[in-house]
Amino acid sequence: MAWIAGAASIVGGALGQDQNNKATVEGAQTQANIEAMNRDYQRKLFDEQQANQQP
Amino acid sequence: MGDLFGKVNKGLNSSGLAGPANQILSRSETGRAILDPMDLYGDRAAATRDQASAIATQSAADSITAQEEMRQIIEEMLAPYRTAGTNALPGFNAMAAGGNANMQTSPQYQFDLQQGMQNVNRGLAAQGRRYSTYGGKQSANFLNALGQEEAQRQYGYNLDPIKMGMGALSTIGGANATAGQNIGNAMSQQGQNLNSIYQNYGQQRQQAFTGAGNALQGLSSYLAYQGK
Repeated sequence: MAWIAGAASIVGGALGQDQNNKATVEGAQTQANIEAMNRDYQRKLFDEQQANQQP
Repeated sequence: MGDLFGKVNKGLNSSGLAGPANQILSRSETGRAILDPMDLYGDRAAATRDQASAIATQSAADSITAQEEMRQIIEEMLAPYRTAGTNALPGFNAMAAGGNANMQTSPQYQFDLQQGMQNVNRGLAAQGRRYSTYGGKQSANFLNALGQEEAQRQYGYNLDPIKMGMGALSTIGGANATAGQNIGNAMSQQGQNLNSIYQNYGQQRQQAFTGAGNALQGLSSYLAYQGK
C-alpha cells in the first residue's frame, strides 16, 4: 500500500503547486490592479489640480 | 470597500483567475502535470514566474508612462510662459547693459508724448514763450522725463515675462522632480515584486527536489522494510 501513499503524495504536491502558481499569478495581478487604481487616483488628483490652477 | 475589491478583482474570470493563470492551469492539466507531476523540470514554476513577472513589469511600465504623461502635460501647458520669458531675455540684458534693445515705443508713450507736448506748447503759448529758449528747455525736460518713464515701462515689459518664465521653469522643474521620484518608486516597487516572484520560483524548485528526495527516502525505507 505504500505506493498508494507515494502516489497520493505526488498528486498532492502537484495540486499544491498549482494552488501556489494560481496564488502567485493572482497576487501579481491583484498587485497590478491596485497599482492601476493608484494611478487612476493620482491622475484624477492631477487633473483636478490642473483644472484649479489654469493660469 | 466594495468598489475597491470590485476593481482589484477586475480581470478575474468566472474561475477566479486572470488570463495568464488560466494558461498555467490548462498547461498543467493537460501536459506536464501528467508527465512531470512533481515539476522536476520546473516548467510550471517557470511559466508562473514568467507570467507573474510580465504582469509586474507591465504594471511598472504603465506607471512610468502615466508619470511621464503628467509631466509632459505640465511642460506643454507652461511652455508659452517659459518661451515668453526666454524671448524677453535679450531685451532685458540689452537694457541692463545700457542699450535700448531696439525697443519700440509703447502706445502709452505715443499718447503721453502727444498729450504732454500739446500741454507744454499750450502753456508756453499762453505765456508767449512758445518759441523761446525757455520753451525749448521746457520741451526738452518733458521729453527727457517721458523717455525715462518709457524706459522704466520697457524694463517692466521685459522683466515681467522673465519672472513669469522663471516661475514656469520652476514649476516644470518641480514636475520633473516629482515624476522622477514617482518613476523611481515604481521601479523600486517592480524590483520588489520581481524579487518576490523569483523567490517563490526558487522555493518551488527547491520544494520539487525536496519532495523527490522525500519520495526516494520513503521508497528506500519501504524496500528496507520489505527486505527484512
